[in-house]
Amino acid sequence: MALLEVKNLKKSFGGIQAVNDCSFKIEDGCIYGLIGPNGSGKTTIFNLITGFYKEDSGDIFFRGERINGLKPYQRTERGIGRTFQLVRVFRKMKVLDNLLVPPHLEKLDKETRLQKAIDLLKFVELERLKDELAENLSFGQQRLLEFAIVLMQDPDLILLDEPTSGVNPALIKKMCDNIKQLCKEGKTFLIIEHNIPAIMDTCGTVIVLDYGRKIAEGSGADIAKDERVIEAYLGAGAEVHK
Amino acid sequence: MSSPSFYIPTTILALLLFLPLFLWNFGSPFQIHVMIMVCFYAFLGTAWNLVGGYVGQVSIGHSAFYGIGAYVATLAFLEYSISPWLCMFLGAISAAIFAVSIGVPSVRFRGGGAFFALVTIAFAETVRLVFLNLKIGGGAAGVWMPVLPESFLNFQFHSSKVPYYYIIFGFLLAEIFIIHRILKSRWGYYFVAIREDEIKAESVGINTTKYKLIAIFISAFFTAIGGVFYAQYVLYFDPFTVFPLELSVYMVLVATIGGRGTLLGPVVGSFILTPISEYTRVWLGGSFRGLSLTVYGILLMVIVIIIPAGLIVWVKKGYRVILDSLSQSTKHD
Repeated sequence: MALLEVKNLKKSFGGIQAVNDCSFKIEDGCIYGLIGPNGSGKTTIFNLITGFYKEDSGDIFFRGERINGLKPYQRTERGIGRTFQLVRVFRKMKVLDNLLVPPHLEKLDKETRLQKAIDLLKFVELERLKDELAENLSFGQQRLLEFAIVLMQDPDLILLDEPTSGVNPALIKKMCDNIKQLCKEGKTFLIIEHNIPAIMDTCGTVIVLDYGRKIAEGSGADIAKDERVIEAYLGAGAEVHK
Repeated sequence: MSSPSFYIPTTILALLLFLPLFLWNFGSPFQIHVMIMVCFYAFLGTAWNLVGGYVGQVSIGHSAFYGIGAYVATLAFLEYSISPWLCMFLGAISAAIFAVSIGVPSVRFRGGGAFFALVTIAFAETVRLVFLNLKIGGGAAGVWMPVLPESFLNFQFHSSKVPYYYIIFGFLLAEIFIIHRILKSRWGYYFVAIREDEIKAESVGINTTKYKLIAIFISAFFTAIGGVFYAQYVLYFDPFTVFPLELSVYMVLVATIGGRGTLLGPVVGSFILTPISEYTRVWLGGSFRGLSLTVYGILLMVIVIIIPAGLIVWVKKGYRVILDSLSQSTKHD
C-alpha cells in the first residue's frame, strides 16, 4: 500500500484550473521531487494534501485511509508534516520555544522534549541562536528553523516547499545529505524545488506538473530527457545542449 | 531573603495589603474606592488579555460575559436565596458556556481580526437589548440587591469598603496565578502559537478552534466573576451599567496600554488609567463629561507610537535599573 495516494485531484480558483485531474503515489521511505514551472499547481497540491484547501473533486489516501475532509491538524496527527513556500515560524517566540510547540510532543517528558529540540537545533546549526526571537533570524535561518520544527513533529511524510530557497550553498548540500539520512531512517519526503541540481541529487523519483496536470514521472535522468518536460520548462522547439 | 529581587516585590505586595487599612484610618473612603476600582479593572483586563493578548482574538464584547455573570448570579440569589458565593460560580459558569456558544461560530475564521471583533460587538449588543426589552431582571428598571447583614458569607459590607478591596485584590492575585500556571503549561505554547501564526499552528498539529474556545471559556469565566463582584459592590445594576460597549473597550484599553500579551500588563494599565478616570469624574463632576475618554485616546495614541508593547516595557526597565543599583550597593557594602 502506498503511503500517500492522490487520485484524480481537481482544484480551481475562479477560472483558473490550478490542479487538473492529478494522480500519483508516494511510497514509504522514498524521496520524491515535485517540480514544474511557476503556477503549475505544486503548492496547491501541498495545500490540498495538508487540508488547507478543499479539493473540488478527487481523493487523497494516507496509509489507505481517505483523508478528504479532515482538518489540517488531524492530517498532522496522522503523520503528515509540511513547510511553507513563504517561510512560517512563530516570530515572537524564541527559537527553542518554536520547536517545543507541536502537540505531538505531549507524549514525551519535559527533559526528552528539550533534548530533542536541542539536538535538532544542532542538526540545523542554529543551537547558538536558541534564545533569540525567531523574527531576528535571517530568512535562510528561519527556513532552517521551519525545517527543524517539522522534524520535531516526527511525521512519516514530510512535504517541503522550496526548502533550499534563501539557504547558502554549503547548507543546501548539508540539508540534502540530511534529507537522505532521514530517508534511510524511514522518513518519506515530497519536495517542491526550483533548484534542479538539488532535486536531481536528492530525489529518487521526480513528478513534473504543468498547468495542474502531471506530465511526467520518473527518475531524474529520465525526466531530464522527457520532451514534455523540456517543452514545459523551456518552451516548444527548444534544444537541450547535451 | 536579603536579595532585592525578593524584598522589592514583597514590599510592593505589603504596601498593597496595608494601604487600604491606612487609608481607612487616615484617608477617605473614596481613595479606597479608587484602589478597589484599580484592582477590579486590572482583574477584568487580565481576563480579557488571555483571549485578546495571548491568543490574539480581539474581543470587543466582553461586557456580555460580565453582564450575564451579574444577572445570573443575582437572579439565582433572589430566586433561590443560596449563598452569593455559589451564585457567583453559577454566574461565571453560565457566562463561560455562553461565551463558548458564541465562540463556536466566530472563531472559525483565521486571524482573530476585524471579523471576530465585529461578531463580539454584535453579540454583546444583542444580549444587552434582550435583557433590556424582555424585562429579564426588571428590564430597564434594573435589579436591586436586598441589603443583608454585613458578613463575608453574605458578601456585603456596609461599614467599610476595605473588605471589598481585599476580596477583589485576592481575586486578582488568584487570577494572575491561575493564568500564569496555564501559560506555563502546554496550553500556553498553543495560545501564543495561534496568535503568532494560526496557519502555522494548525500545520504543526494544534486544534486551533479548540484552544481558542478554551481561552474564551476561561476569560469569560473570570470576566463574569468581575460582573458579580460589581453587583455585590454597588447592590444595584441595570442593562446600561453591565452591558455597555464602553466597558468592553475599557478592558481592551487597560490591557493594550499596559501591555497586551504580558501577565502584568493589564495591572500596570489599570494602575495608570483607573485613577485618571475616577479622579477626573469626581473633580470635574458633571462638566467635561467624557474627558477621561479623551485622556485615554491621547494616551493610547502616544503609547502605540512610542511603546507599542505597552507601559509594562518601561516598568520592567525601571524595575531592572532599581534592582541593579540595589544589588550594586549591597555588593559595595
